[in-house]
Amino acid sequence: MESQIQGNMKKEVVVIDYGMGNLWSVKSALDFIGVETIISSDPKKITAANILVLPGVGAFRRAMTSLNKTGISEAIVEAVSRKKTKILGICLGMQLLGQSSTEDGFTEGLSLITSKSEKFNNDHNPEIKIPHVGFNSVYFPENSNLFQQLKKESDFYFTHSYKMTLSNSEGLESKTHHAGDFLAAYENENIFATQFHPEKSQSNGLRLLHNFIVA
Amino acid sequence: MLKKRLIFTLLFNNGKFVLSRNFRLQEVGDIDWLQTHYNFSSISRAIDELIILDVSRNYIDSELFLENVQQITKGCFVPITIGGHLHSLKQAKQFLDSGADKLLVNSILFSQEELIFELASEYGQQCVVACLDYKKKLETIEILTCQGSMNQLDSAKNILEKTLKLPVGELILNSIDRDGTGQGLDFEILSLLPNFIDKPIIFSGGVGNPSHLLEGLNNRQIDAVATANLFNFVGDGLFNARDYLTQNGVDLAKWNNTFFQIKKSL
Repeated sequence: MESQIQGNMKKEVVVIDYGMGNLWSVKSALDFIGVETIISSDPKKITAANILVLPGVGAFRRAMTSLNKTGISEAIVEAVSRKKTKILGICLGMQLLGQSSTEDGFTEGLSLITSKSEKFNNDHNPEIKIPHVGFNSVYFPENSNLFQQLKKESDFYFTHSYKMTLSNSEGLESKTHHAGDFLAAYENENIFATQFHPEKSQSNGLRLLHNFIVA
Repeated sequence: MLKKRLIFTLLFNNGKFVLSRNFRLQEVGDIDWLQTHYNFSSISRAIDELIILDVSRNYIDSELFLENVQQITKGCFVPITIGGHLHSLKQAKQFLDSGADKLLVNSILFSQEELIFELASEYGQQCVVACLDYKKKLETIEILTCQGSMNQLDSAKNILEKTLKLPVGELILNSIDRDGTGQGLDFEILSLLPNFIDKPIIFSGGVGNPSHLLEGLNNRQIDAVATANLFNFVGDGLFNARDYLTQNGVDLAKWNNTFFQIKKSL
């Protein structure tokens, strides 16, 4: 029943507000490409959403504390694992979808992606700058949904000191080079994640957001 | 490979956008003027980042500033750094809620060091951008704060080292002597930096034409160059500068402008 009416429903996106995201930028990029977007911290709205976006700027531990305290964690897991709601995690939002991070001490994540996040290591090459800030090229597999129509090695804006490493290889992985290759984007069924900020990546990011919505 | 960056800086002073020359301000117009003459969302498609600073000297109306920030950044899909008169976590939150991705800090690097740590732990150190303004006095470089009005007594070399050890994500070096002069960047301060810097360096002050940008971006110690020179890059100026830089081998990010048209009902 639910899936029957879904096709006719407008694709409303809920940008999840847990007090630490650049919500305004994400919303304004989605508005720009013509997507109806609301910002919400209401677990009910999150569970009921057609599409979810989990943005994020800040530290992992604080973010998880906030998600857990507000009941948003459960709502996301319910929506994404049980209802198979499509979700895009951006930057910290990507890492929060994983199992854990070592930022500010070991913290468990939402565990929707089998992965952990750790700090970049430049011990072997002190010239590698951390945080990794700026536009960098992303290498994606040809069958990627997120990067459709984008040129090979398209540039996206990153700003982060921690990176996510997968513990298995179930989904599609896109890579970027900085102190070795790291995971720049991930897609597996209804779960999508980008370490970079599509909402800050000029038209390349707008295209990617469009691809996510129609995927 | 991480790309070099071309950054544009907008200066705001009590309701008006201004040009600065050696930190003396000259009014150019309000937001309507800026939109009419510069169509800012379109200009933003030629740059990698935008910095917007409240440089108001006396009366500070941060509500008005942030309203302007929200208006000006509509349709800009680049990282935005906001700064000026930032003295509390509460203000930082207001800046970030108004569309800032990063916070520029200057005087509080010296007067409220603990706030730098608080900002970093709250938002991550990638969110905190340190900016040091400097000036040459005889043969020495001096660091100044409070809009260039207060000399820091410690040597520039020590201050640079100390600042890079704080939990900040990037460092902007801004020459007051070259500010707004269009005479080109002054590279002298680079020799005072520690040998290994693991934070991006943004260089600013003196850019008057595309070749100055090229000179800056070709320097291996510099990751990004910022210019606040509205008049020198009017119209297609920034687009042309970007083309010129790419043609001269600077590794800048590329994006497909036709993707800006993908506005459609989904």
